[in-house]
Amino acid sequence: MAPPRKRKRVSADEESDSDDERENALPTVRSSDEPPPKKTKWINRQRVLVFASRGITFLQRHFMEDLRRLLPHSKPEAKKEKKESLIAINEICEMKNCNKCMYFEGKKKQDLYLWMSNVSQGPSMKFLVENINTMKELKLTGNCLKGSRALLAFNEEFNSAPQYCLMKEMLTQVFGTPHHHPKSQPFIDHVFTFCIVDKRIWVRNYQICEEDGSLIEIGPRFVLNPIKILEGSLWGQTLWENPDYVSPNIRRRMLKIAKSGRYMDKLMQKKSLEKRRPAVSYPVDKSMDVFSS
Amino acid sequence: MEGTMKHQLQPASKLSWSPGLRNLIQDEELESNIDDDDGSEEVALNLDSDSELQEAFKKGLLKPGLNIIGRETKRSFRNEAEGLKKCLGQLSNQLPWLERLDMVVVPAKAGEEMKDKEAKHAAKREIKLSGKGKSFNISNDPVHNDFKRELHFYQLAQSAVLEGIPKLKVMGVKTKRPDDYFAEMAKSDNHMQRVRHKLLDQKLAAERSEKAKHLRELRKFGKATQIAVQQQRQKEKRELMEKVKKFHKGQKDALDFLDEDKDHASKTKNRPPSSTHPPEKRQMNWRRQMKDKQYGFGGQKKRSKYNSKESVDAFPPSMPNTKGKGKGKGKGKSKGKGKGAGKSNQKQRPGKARRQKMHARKKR
Repeated sequence: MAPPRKRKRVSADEESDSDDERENALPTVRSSDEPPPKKTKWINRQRVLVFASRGITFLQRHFMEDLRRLLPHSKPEAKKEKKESLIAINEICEMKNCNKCMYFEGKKKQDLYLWMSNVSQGPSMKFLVENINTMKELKLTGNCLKGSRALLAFNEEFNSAPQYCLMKEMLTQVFGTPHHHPKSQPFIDHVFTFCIVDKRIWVRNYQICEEDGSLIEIGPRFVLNPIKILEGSLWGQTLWENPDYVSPNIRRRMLKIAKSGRYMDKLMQKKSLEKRRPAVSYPVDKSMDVFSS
Repeated sequence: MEGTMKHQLQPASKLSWSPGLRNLIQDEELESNIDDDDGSEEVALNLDSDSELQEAFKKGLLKPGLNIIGRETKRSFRNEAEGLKKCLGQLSNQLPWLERLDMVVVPAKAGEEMKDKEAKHAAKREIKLSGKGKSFNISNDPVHNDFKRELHFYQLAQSAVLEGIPKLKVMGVKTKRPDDYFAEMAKSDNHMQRVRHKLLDQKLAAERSEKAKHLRELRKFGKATQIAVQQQRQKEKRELMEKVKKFHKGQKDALDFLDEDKDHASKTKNRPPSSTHPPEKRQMNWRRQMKDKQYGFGGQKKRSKYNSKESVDAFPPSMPNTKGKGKGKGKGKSKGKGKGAGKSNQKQRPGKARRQKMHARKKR
């Protein structure tokens, strides 16, 4: 619905512009009832495409839907086939008229990766999403208006390194609901908190209960573990890589190896015990038996 | 990132090797990693293939049980600060704060309430874990650390609110929705109902557990009094026995103490039974009662059919109902047996001829 209407409006604007140019002056007679020319208040035209690859689990899907619900400037899209290359996402975004995208990539039915990208220009960044708690969880008791704007709180570490500065800018543009967005509510009743602890970004969402600073958590809760930043949008040179990132595959492998080592150790211990066990428990002189009758 | 795994000659756990050999192998790896001709590094062995390894093993350079995990290949991680800064310049849009609403804040200082919460949580965890672990330290407890971290996030959000909301108010932006403003919420009413239910349940459960704790304590106290009473009784008995012994030995003449004791005992026995056994107010089990009535209850059942003096004397019984009370088993049977017994009183059955006549008459 939205794009055609908008296009019309744009074309109308253009027409009026051209008319103005033709006439080069204001009309000589103007009715007092005539509405003044409309000034669009919606300046910050961010649109975020939120979608996923095939093969994400139900939890991950719910998490994604929560984000869609919380971000009124987001647009949905059908799941992407994994076979298609990442660069195809740029085209999808252009077709959907979006300039940002959040692409969730599920792998092995357990790991979730998140691509955040500034479409067409770049940069783009890849995160591993860990510790997901959705909004549906009953221990998260807060609630907010659907489509209300959120304050975005970052901790000081975001200013400490260039990669974090870039991440902060990206998160601000993706999670910040534009002022006067048509689908948004005019109130500000929740806070997104981004905090770098342990070299990961911990994201929390709180309802502003009272304005003196009492909060209730709404959810979702998740942790973004940054992996890398690319120069272009989902392509291009790698600008930064996280040296502390360990892929979940490797972590699982290490755990497995540790386990197998335990078993081998046990076997070896048994063997060595067999080896060390003396044949004779105590040296006894046979002649000692002579006197015992 | 990936450790290069060397061939495993034999299953082994320990890395038992000589330092010289280690050097050799490291050098070899260096060589394989960086194709670098170093004259000083004249390595006798080039442990690349299986056959060479086997040879080395034959020479005795490799011991069985050798399992080498090679040194990790060092990966260089990219970090181009210049490129990142350029990207940031491209990405950032020079929009007023009202459009972005982003803030870099320092976590708010913990209020008394928060500190209290944390201390409470720590105390709770300590109570829970002090029994289990040998060396328990609250700073190592992951659950408590999680709690602390969440508090940190909470404080961060708090300071953002305390900073941001006044700023918005100055700009004249509405932050709070009026009470009569209804709109769709992020969580549905249905869901919020469930949340409320859960909170209520939690509260109730807490109350219940508190009550149970209280009762348990009371019971403990009750047990103590019971023990005291038992000890008192034993003591009394012991004293009595001693007195009796003394009487036997002739140390005492009178038996007054027995009366005394009886008085005492009667006193204790005649106390109102209200405390321990309430008067029999138990509800009657009608079903049980009817069953008792039908099948009998109590007493021996198995020799009830033997002849006894009374039964023999009563033969031929004048009364049809001579069976013992509470003699189990069916009425029907007893009826059949009672046939002979009740002969005298019952109307005799007419003879065959008469019966046939009666029958014929009826038919007609």
